[in-house]
Amino acid sequence: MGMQSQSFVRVRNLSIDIPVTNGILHAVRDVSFEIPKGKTLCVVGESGSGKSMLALGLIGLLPHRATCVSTELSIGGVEMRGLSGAELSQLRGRRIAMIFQEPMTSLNPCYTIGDQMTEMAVRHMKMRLSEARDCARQWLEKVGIPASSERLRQYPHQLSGGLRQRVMIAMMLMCEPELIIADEPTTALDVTIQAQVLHVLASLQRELGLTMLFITHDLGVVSRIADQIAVMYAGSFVELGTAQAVLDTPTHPYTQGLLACIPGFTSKQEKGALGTIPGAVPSLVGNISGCAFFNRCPEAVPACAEGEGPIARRVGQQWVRCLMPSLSDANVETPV
Amino acid sequence: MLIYLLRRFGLACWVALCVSILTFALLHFSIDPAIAMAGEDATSEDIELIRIAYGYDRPVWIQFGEWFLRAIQGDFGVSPYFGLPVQDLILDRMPVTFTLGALSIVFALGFGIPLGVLAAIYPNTWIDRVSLSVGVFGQAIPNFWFSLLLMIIFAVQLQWLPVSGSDSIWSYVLPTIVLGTNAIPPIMRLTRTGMLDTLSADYIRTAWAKGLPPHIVFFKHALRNAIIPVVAVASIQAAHLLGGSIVVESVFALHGLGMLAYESILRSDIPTMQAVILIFSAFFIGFSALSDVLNAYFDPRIRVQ
Repeated sequence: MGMQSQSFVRVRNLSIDIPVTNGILHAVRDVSFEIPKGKTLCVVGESGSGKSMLALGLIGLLPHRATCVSTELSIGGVEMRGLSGAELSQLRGRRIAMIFQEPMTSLNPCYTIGDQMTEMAVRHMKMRLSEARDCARQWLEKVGIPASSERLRQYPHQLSGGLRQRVMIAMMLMCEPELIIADEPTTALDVTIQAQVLHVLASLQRELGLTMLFITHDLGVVSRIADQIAVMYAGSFVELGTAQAVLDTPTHPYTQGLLACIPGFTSKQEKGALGTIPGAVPSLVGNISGCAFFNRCPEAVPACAEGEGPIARRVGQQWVRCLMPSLSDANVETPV
Repeated sequence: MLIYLLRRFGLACWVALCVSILTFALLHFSIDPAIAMAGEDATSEDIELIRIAYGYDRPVWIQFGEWFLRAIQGDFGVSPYFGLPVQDLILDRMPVTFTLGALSIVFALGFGIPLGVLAAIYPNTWIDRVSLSVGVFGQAIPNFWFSLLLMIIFAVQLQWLPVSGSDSIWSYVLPTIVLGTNAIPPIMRLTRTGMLDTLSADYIRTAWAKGLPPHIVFFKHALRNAIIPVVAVASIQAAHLLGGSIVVESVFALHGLGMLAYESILRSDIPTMQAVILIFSAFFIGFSALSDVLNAYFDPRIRVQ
């Protein structure tokens, strides 16, 4: 980690609670991380691990009932906690952009692509409509959509999923934001389209020097774009480190299990045998005693089920939340 | 699209034909027109004379055929009570009913949509409950009683508005409130559900993520989608208001089609009844076709292929 002064995103002890009928759902539990300017942090985890809630929490788009607390949450030097709705909406789309998972439903079916793109530039860049249209056209070309003038007149239902996601990317990058939060932007697309969309996003990120928080459950994608990786399980980060460290020397048993689920990713794996992690993510409602991964962990010891769960410790190049005996002599520090 | 419109028109004609056969038969079997025309003191010979003179002794289907052939040429016969051609009576009364109907639907939309939007933006708050109460009130209150209540307050006691008649635009205020209040609940509730659905849609989350201010998110992005089913229902409501003004028009003595219907029923004026019922059903057929067209117009997924 280090080099804290250059971090574009700084998050300390972020927790998100959502009241539900049978208690309080702790969707995100005490998460801390930093993203240096121009770098990509990939958050990896199963469905229901709290990844999307984390993303929505960062830009203040959580459901009304949810509460989000942290000791620090700053983006581009702006402390986000306590900002009013109006102040937040000045930042959203302007300095922080977000791309969602579902291109099929994330664009308004009643307005043309042009309408939905230009309204953003008109609001944030104070452009006149004609300027905004030119700008929208340029951005469509940048994300590889030809015949942009015609596209601007079309409605979302006239476009394929891959095109819609490119429109989304073009729209969200139009106001030249500094941070882009992408919540599984390629998950809903065909594999070939996935690669194209990812390529567009990754190359624009490099070109514009964007800081990116990329949320995915696809480790293949992670290995292509991540500078840092955070592995999320049951609402907390169980492992956090540079991409190389996490992928080459996965330390948390959950990370090891995840990597074993990818065919041909680890050399240890025998041909034909695909790894699985038995069991399911525990319910996030109420408090979890001990380590959340305890009941699925191949290396669990009785001590893992006790107390408030392990704290994050520095092990080699990464931070790991695990009590594993083999890590007991590791260099223990307070988290980042 | 042309084939669709032709099919829609064909269906409308077919419904209109069925309605006219049904009303003709029902009227024929429930009222003896000769007795009605002859009056209370008539002898059975007089009645028989009238029956033969007006052709009421012939088989029903011949009478219907004759009426139908003239009706499609715009001739609905002569009203025995008014002594005037029925089509003239209807054309004379139509403007009053249309004015009342148009004002009422504007009133209903003007209150129903904002109330529904507010209720959806602040669900389960006092605002939501107030608009729900307005809805229940509007639906449950009987028209004739509400009419009399408004008359007593605003016309008799405060004397702000005329009690009855259709001389000036002020005469339409109270009837519009009564009829419109009746149409508010379905519009309001549909707007509320539509808005609640849309507000949780992915594209609304996108709109917030774009940093758009609340009024643009609510009114441009959400309402535009939520309004599509409301437009369809409002169009049916409009037909309902045009055809359902019998009570209100009679209470306020507005000389519109509803009043004409009431008068013709009172006098067993068969040609007038027949024509008025046909007109009312034509309103329904026409407006439900209009609702389909409006739906297609407002939803680009239907309009733009």
